[in-house]
Amino acid sequence: MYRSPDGEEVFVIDCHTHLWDASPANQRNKWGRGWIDCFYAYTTGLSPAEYVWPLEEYEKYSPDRMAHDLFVKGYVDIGILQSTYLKEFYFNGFNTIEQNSVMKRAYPDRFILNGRWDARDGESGLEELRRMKGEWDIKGVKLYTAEWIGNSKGYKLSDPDAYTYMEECAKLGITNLHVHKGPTVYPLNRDAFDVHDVDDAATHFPELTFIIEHIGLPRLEDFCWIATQESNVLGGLSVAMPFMHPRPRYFAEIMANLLFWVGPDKILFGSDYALWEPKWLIEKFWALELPDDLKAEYGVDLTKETKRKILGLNAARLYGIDPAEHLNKISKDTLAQQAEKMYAVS
Amino acid sequence: MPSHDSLITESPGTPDVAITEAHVYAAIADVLDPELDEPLVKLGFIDRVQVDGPDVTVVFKLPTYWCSPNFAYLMAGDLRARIRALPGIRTARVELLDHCAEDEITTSINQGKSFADAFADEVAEDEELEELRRTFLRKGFLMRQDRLVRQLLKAGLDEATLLSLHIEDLMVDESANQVCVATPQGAVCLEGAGLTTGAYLRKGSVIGLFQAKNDLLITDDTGQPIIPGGLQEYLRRSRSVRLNILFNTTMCKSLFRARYEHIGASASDQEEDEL
Repeated sequence: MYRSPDGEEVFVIDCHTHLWDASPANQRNKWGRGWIDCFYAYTTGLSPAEYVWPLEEYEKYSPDRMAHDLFVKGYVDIGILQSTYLKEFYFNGFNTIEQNSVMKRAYPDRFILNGRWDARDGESGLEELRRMKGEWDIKGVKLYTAEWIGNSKGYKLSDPDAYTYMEECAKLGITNLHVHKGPTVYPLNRDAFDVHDVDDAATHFPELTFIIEHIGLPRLEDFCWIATQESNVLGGLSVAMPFMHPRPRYFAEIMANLLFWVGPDKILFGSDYALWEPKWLIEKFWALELPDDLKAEYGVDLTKETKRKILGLNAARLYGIDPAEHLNKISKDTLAQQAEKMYAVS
Repeated sequence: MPSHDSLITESPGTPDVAITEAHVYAAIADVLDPELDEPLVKLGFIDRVQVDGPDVTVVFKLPTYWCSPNFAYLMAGDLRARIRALPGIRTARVELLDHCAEDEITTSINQGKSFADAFADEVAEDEELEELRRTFLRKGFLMRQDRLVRQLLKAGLDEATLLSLHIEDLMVDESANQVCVATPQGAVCLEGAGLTTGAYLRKGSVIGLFQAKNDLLITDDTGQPIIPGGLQEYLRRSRSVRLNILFNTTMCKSLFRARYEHIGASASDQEEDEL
């Protein structure tokens, strides 16, 4: 729970978190090295200096640190673990459902554990999806369509094999599909940031919800178009939000643009932890106001009510969580007590 | 561009033209990062230029290890084409540094291979790469148009006048950063809009617009006029394009600085592209 300087109490779901292992021991090849170095540049390039960790710690951090950064220091009530495999780059994977489940086991009321599938995994992948559902009752998956498997450098949601998986998701009640459509490399033979395959899938599966992570950046205009057309397409703010620090006006204009096209009910907060820490993102977001000229031009405002929706209420709706009930459940846990102590008014 | 012969005449006594680093930089000065609509030289992406008599190598690098190979290939190809056109050149070589596909791109581009040949397993046709280039030229055009239109509206031009302007109604002076517009009410000179206008007109002619003096100044990216009264609606789309390109540019610059200069984010960074 975030208690703002202006006395508001805000329920927070961080929709995008990971417990990753990119340590040298787990790096399979130069891609594994290149991957985490690239992440580190994102973090250092867009975070306030005091939130940049030493590289060694960033490569692999402890479950304790993660719980502290999210729930004690970082105001988060619930974190969603988004599993990203990358087994071509890391021996044990980057953050598989097994790796992430360490957090879920330790803090069952604090985490929602999401699985993943890959359209190229065939029948065994479907079996694995059913296993994840059985073991963890997952309600969502992270889809990383640019993942490398052997010679293949990715797939599209419009591929027939992806349809088989989405049919299975609909059958199993795995309704939240978080699609990574941010900076990617492959496939080579088209604009690698293209989000149009989501449009196709969203039309065919109205019972599923598609959350385009990183709001389709760097193809924001395409995302806005699709999210306007399709009622079941939402946007996750991770990667975009840290721009509040170096470029507050750009970010304000991005928000105005999103509110104009997509509306306040279809935008979700995510830190992409450990890329960025939720504490400063939440503080800055709550303090952010749209400049008057942008309000006038776009005819929208970033009100407290809208911020509440983005920070927690929209995700609560997607994942069937009653915020008041849930806050009650976690208000006395150890983490909540530590947070209470940390932010107690002296 | 001066011919080989004329340059030799200017340097009597030397059998060949001495290529300098400055020549090379001048030749590649306007090679763009297609996605960001900014020159590589200005972005700092040129790592170094090596001149060894008639043999020239340009080494470039990108903000991340994972920048899309298709864009990287376009940039590498453009760089090589510019060096090959230098008078007196014997071998023109381009190298990409610190990239997930650096070997494939460097090897293939210097063998003059097309993108489809370089990545035969994954890429069917080169036409797709050229289509990508055209898409981003159009986006660059829309961004520049959005900037210009905003500036002109802010300066007091009304929508109807703006939509009726032709190329010949403008007098652009980029060195003074000024543009004078002939309107039905008389000439209006706008300070600070010369560079924006020049940049817009150049991009428009690259995508095939503005071929005649009486072409409309403000059209969509295919040359179709904007429906009267529909400018605001039209701008809602193009401003998303502008925002997106600026966002990418900011992101790529931050990543580049973090990667190569170990400089982190600063809250006081100038938001130089704001309007």
